[in-house]
Amino acid sequence: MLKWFRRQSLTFRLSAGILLCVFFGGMALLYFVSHYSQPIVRSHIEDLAQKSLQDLSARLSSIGGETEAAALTMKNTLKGLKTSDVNMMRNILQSALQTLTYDKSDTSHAWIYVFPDGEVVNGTLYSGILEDGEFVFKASYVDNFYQKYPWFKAVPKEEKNFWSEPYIDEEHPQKPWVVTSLIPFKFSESAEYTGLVAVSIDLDDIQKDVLAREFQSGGHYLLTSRDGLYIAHPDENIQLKKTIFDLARERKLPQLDDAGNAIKNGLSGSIQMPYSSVYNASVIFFYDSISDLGWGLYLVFSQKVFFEPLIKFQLKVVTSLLLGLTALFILISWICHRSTKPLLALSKIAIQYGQGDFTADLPEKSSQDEIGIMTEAFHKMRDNLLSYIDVIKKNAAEKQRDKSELEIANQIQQAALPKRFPLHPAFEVYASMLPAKSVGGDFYDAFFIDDNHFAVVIADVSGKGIPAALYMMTTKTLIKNIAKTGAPIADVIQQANNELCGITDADMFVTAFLAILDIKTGVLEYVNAGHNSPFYKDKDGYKMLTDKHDIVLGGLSNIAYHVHKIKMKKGDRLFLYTDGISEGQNIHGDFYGEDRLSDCLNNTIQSTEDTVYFVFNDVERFSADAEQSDDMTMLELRYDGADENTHVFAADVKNTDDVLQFIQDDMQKNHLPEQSAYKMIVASEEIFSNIAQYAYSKGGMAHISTYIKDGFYYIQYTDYGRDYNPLLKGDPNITETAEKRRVGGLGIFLVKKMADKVTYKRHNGQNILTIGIKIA
Amino acid sequence: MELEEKREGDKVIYTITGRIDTNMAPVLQQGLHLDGVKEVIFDMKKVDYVFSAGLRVFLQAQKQMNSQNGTMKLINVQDSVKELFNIVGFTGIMDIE
Repeated sequence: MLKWFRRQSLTFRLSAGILLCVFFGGMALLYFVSHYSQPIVRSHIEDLAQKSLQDLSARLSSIGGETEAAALTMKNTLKGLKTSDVNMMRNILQSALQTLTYDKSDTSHAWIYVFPDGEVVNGTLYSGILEDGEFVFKASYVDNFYQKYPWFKAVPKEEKNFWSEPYIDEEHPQKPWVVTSLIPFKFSESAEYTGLVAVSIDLDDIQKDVLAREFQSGGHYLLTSRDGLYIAHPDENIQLKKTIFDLARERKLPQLDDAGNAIKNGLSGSIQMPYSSVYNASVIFFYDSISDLGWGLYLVFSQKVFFEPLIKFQLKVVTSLLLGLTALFILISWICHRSTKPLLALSKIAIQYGQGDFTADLPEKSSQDEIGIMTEAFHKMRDNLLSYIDVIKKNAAEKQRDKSELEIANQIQQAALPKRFPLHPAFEVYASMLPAKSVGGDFYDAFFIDDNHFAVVIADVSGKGIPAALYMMTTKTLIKNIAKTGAPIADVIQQANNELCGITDADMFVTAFLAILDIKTGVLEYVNAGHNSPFYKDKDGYKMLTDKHDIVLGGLSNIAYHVHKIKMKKGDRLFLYTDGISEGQNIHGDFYGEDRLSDCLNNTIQSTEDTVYFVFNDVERFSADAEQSDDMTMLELRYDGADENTHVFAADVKNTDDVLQFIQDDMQKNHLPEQSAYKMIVASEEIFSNIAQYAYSKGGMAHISTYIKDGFYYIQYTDYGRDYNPLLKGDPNITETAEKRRVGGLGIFLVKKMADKVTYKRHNGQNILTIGIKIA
Repeated sequence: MELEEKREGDKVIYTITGRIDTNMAPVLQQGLHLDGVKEVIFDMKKVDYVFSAGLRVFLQAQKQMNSQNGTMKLINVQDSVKELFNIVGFTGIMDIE
């Protein structure tokens, strides 16, 4: 619950907090008000009840008094009379009835009973009745008075007023229930009682009067006789049928007994009744005794009704409180919304800023409150962010530019390296560089100095990146330009070194290996300026050249570099490489190393292109998934010997026509008969296509030379590819049926059949196949 | 090399021009459609060289024709070329005029 509350918006929490406080405050106030107002209200109501009760009681009392007075007047008039004259009686009765003010139009009844012998049993009854204002007088003899009025026995024989209990008066048929005030009398003090006077009140109107009254529209009245008989009661089954004591017994309400007894004793008071069938709730009885009549008057009202106005008042208070709270909630929400609106706007903007969108405008600082301070902070934050982003963008752009500059440098560097190598009968050269990701400083070069001198270079500049690339370009250009002047190799290197030393103070340098081949003699001069020892291959295979190295270029000026010489024989090779090869690493950090390089070289003696290709593959296989960290550069030079008649063709079937054309021309020049020439063409096509298709892995050359000797015309095919002696191949059986004939093996067979002489020789990595045909 | 095809029902005449060398042999091989053919004739009048790769194509053609009971004939074969066929023993298994 608390967690849930904390998750709600500030507006909600603030409103809820304030509303709860106000609500509880209101409820507390209400409690105190009702707690203290209840007794006040109660006493007020009690006063009202008592007053009301007394009013009615007084009224009833006056009715009784009037009746009593009428009876008394009759008695006093009769007193002193000696006889009972009918007319006299009539007058007395009529004047008595006329004194009654209560309910004049209704039936009133007065009578005088005279029993001359002093016994009540037999006598004359004079009766006067007002019927609708008309006085009706009757005189009758009564045989048995007690039979007629049994209750009369209880009347004490003294000249005092006595109120009867309610009874049914047969003389009075329309309104049977009456109570009667009667007074016995004697004509003289000494005489016996000789009669009685009586005035009856019919209860009908009194009942109606009592029952019709309401107390504060929530209470009713009851009336009981002296003996507790209900004269007025809203329940007809109780009225004039049961006494208050009967009800106390039936309903097990001893409080009613108490009230009834209190009335008998002429007391007044109030009782709490736990239950009333009329109100279906607990009630309060206020009671008062009507002194002359001895009756009891009760005011009954329910507590519920009693406090209803208070409860209604409280309900109104609660309702007003709730209405007020609702209004308050709306007001607080509105205020909060207004206050937090700028916060929401700021947070939206913050999200946009967080996504890198700075187009959203910040609201201006509009107040000095917390929101204002925050807005100001946002302004500062945005300005700072924008300036930081500017800086970062500039940096990024610079980096991007550097990167593209590096890529361009890489391309220039690659473009600066020769990709096509001279096709020369006396030597073959091939080189390649596989750059690492960043620009490195490796390079190679291969160029003619003059018709008879060919130079090869391999070098590795320290460091990487643009400076290394620039240094590399400079070194390459320097060496080539100086070498092309025809200067001795030692001078070339020395000059290049001095130039490079003058270029920069930075501790940059380059390791380089320069070699110059004298094509005619095969003499190779070389200088090693701090570079990896190259491999040299003669008829015994590849071996590392272990001459002493000289210092790197660009380190110290005016250094005299040592020149080494080697006389290359036909098929000898010089293999140059950079440390990207020998120091190629695998994921375990092991180096490829010179031993592996030596093994690889010795296992793969084919064309120079094949050599480079094989070594690359071997290093890559070794490094496997490790990233190439340095440029890998290789160059191989093979000396094939100087021979004027040798022609070189790239070993590719596409060159077949050129080869055949060359041979055709040569044979024509040497006046070979057409039939012989035809045979040599057929044989040559077989041999060249064989070399083109099978000799090399990647690519290589076919050397073709022709000569005449001892009456034979010879064509010699030399390749530097894999060891293959075609003459070891068996001849096909040409007498088999077509089904049994093998499709292959015809080529060499044809060569053997076409030529007069066929020889094969393997020498220093060369396959030398010679075919000859007799001239005339 | 050029190849020209003339078809009459299940009889086909191929006219070949030029030399059949290592380059052209695969072209010739793919140019021949001998399935269901009863009689195939190669007009060799304009062929001056047939190298081993070309000879292999003819040997394969002969094998196919034999297997589908058809006949194969090479006509107008130049002497020099016929000599090559002779050397590799094809004159014994092919009808060469």
